[in-house]
Amino acid sequence: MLFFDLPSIKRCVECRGCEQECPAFKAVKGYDPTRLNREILAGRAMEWFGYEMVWQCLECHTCTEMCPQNYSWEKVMTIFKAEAMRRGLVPKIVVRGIATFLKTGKLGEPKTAVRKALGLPDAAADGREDFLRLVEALGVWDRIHG
Amino acid sequence: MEKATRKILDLLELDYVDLDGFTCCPEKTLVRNMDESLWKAVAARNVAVAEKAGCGLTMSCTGCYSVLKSVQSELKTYPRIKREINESLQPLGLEFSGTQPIRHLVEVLNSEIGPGRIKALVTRPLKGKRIAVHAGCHLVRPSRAIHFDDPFKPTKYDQIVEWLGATSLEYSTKMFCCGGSLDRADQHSRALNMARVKLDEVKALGADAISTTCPECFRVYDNNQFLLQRDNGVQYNIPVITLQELLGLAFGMSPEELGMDGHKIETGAFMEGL
Repeated sequence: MLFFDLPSIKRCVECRGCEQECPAFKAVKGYDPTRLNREILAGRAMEWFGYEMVWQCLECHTCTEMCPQNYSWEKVMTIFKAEAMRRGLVPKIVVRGIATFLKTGKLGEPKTAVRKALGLPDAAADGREDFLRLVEALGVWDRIHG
Repeated sequence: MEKATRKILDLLELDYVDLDGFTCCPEKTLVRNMDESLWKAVAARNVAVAEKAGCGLTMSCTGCYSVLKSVQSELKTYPRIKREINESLQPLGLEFSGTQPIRHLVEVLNSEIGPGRIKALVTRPLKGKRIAVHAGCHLVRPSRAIHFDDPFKPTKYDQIVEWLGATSLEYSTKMFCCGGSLDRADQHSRALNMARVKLDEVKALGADAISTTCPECFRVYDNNQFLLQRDNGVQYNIPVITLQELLGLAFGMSPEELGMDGHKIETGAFMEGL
């Protein structure tokens, strides 16, 4: 269930105290959560889930640390990300990452040959079996169906 | 990074074990935004694996640190969430209690080992070296869960660098995010732009190296710097030397012993004058 705290978003648009500290705002052309906030206040949030700006929030927590109302741009962007995930409107690399994670509990495997060349011990065994039982027990596949 | 970490832990005579049974921490952008209950349960399971073995957790990755500390803090604060998570861990024979510490390597080095023991091991002081420390966002944030250093002006990483005889530089983009998550969202050219912000300033300052402990920040400043130089014609040639490598070098180890020959950006210049 999508929930934006509209009074907080209204104050956020009026404040923008974190704007000049946000690394994405400074370095990513076109990244402007205030624009998104205005769209939410105008009742047009639905049109923005597939937009790439949603994935430009770095989750560095700069705004979260600064926010006088403990709301922040990051909160808005993560709501968008979660909803984009539910609708399948996500970058391909994210889909691949999730698939790998849900099958193995990890995002990659240790490189045995490299480890050997560096003289490192074999990587410890992972907890894949327990992880898969946890995914099953929590009914994750039913929730993210499709 | 792992090789250098093991080398310095051995030299500092820290007792550590490689435990079986871990999974991804799990990474936040991907997993938390997909399914928050799975994110918490998997993180709590990792902590519970360590607790069962009677061990605290220490990591070099700031991402893992921030995730595990966030979940630990939430479970310790809200008994209901802890109970729900433990219900899902129970069939696996695991329980999260929150009794074992979760510490970043910087925390262990700064607050437990401390300047006395570290300085005593220095045989090759990093004198004259000017280091741009990149602590990384998740070493200190979210501060409500981390409780370790200032979320905007952290100093503890810098202190360790100074104990080795080097100078830690003050610079305006010190806490500027590496932008690694843009690569994980298929926005590579934007990730490169992001890396340039810090690389430009550090180059202008004439720093001898960037230093980080986070594998993702390391990848950005080493590999993405390499790609910028190869494809965009800019020349930075700023070595990226992890804290573990700085310690190893100051303790008299060779770059090869520390696995530094695996870097994309040549580190040879850093050794001059040492």
